[in-house]
Amino acid sequence: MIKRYFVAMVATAMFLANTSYAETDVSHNWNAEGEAAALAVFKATYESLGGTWKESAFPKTEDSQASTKTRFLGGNPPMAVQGALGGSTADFANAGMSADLSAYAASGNWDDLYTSGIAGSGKHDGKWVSIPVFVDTVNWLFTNKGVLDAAGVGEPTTWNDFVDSLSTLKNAGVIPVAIGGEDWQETVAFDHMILAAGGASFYENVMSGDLDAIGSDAMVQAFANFATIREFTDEGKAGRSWNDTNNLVVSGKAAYIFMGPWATGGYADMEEGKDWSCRLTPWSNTVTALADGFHFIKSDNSADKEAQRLFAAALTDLDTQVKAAAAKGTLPAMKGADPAEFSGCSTKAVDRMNSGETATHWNALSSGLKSALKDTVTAFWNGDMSPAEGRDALLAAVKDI
Amino acid sequence: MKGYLQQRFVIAAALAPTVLIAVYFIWGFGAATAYLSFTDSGFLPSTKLIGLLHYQKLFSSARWWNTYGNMFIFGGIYLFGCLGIGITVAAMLDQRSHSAIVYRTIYLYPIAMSLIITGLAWQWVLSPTTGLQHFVRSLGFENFGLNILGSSEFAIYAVAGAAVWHSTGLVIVLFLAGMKGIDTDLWRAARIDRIPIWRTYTSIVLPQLRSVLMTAIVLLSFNVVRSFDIVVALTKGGPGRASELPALYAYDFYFVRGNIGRGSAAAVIMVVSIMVIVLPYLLYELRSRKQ
Repeated sequence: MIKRYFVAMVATAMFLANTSYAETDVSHNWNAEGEAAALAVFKATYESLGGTWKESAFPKTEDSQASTKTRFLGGNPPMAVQGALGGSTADFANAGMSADLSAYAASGNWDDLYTSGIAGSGKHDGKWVSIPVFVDTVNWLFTNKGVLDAAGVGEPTTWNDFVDSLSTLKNAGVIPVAIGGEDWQETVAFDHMILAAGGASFYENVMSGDLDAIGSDAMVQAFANFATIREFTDEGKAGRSWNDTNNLVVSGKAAYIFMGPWATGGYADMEEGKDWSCRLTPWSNTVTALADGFHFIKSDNSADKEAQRLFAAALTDLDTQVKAAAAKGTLPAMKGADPAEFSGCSTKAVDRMNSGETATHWNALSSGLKSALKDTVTAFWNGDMSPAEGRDALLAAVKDI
Repeated sequence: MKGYLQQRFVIAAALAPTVLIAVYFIWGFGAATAYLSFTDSGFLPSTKLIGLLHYQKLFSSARWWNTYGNMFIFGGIYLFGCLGIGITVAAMLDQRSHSAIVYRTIYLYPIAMSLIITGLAWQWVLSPTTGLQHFVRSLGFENFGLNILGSSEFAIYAVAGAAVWHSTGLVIVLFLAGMKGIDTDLWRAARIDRIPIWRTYTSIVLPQLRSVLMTAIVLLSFNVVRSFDIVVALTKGGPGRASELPALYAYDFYFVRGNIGRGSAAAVIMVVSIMVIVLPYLLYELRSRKQ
């Protein structure tokens, strides 16, 4: 009896000790239709190079990254994790989790493949640790044109026209502005308020934590703009996810939504320019952008290293990036893409980047600054602060980082 | 004698893994969390001690105080709501013993649901655009307003209400079982003395069920500490951070903000606060039972 018990125990211990092996998987949260299609493009190239594709999918970035951290500490990390590059590149590198990609970068001449700004988002202390694959432009205004036509409103091109259109739409019985109940959705909308109040350089200064810009009257104006559009949202917004919110515009229950390019997939059955439209903030010639890509995770395992070499080669293939970007409705991060490859919203993003000004989006900031911004925006939006109090709260939060 | 020793050994050996796992995963991890709250752990855990810095930042944060206050609003309503409704319904069922089984099944049913499903179901009911408000308005009462989830003041009460709905059944079943164990002679004596039924319960039956009460309070207070899923499903902590509970706050700092130290400090304060309230009561009850 006792003997049998110990045999079972030893067998269990041996089983547990034996489960450490290289997983060579990619951890990501690209689950929306366009995102999954983009991932399939990278997967195809990776497999054609001889890699064996394995993935771990999560609903949110934080889940995918939390799993990566835990698995890193347990000695069995994924080979790469998808996410916004910039602030988080430094987060991973400072934590000692980043793989050094210098050798692959040198043999592939990565420094020539990217503009220096984009390359910087994948480097830490001059060393390549993450690979940018897309440039996401975030400040989009999606409009259901059918709803505007029914209310007799033309597409607004200035902030004042936009505000004027809101009351007409409200009287017509539709939700003028669709917004959900999560801090990042509120902060994505707030981008447009900052741009209405001060334009590209003001936005860039605010996002770099410049206390003069944050404490300025323009910031008060940004919060006042935000309070204005709050009057034109529906009461079902509490706790609502972005897909449900986007669906209000798709289905004609709401007129406008401020959202990133990932919302494009929802309008697949409608004709852009006729039934709906995607426009970068119409009241400022600015594009707020960030690099999206993969952080490579340090591993001593040779299977991991070989998988990383192949995956890095697949990610830095221009043709693959262009195809994946087209599938996701965004732009490739590498230089040299043929503009004819893009269509619809992506063309507009390329035009704006060539003719207008580019500012770094808040999602590429360090987690401290990003949190201060999101905390204040959500507190203002859901509370009863005056615009001046909103400005003061943001100033206090940034000073407190 | 040899058989007896062998039997004892087998029992000890069989229980040893459970005990070791409990000590390691509950007390070991608890101690690790407390330790991390004194270190500069950020994106990954670190062992460099920095004293009370995380606690200072925690206590100077308006968001934390709102969240911490919510725990007491939620905990108060949850504990007293579950116990009050649970004991009353149990007494009513105790009086009609022939139908008790049917009702007991009905009332116990919610506890078989996970908290995330409970939260989701109530989210559907309370959502102003699709739930109860929409339904009543569609009946013709255009001015009817019920937007608890969108109200910064009241959202936390919606969370507490849904949690009470979920867990009251547990209290009913515990107390009903206890009441069935009361000596029927006591009831006869009370009836002869013409003592009202409610008085019999408050003065005779309930004082005998103190250990049942203790069990219920312990089970419920640990539900208060770990409340996470119901908030996520019902309000996501919103509007803004209005209905956030400490577990959600800790999660945000652990996994979204890469600030493991601050998240640990929040977790420690959360558990210690509940302990400070519940432990003296437990000690008092255990001591008076020994005497």
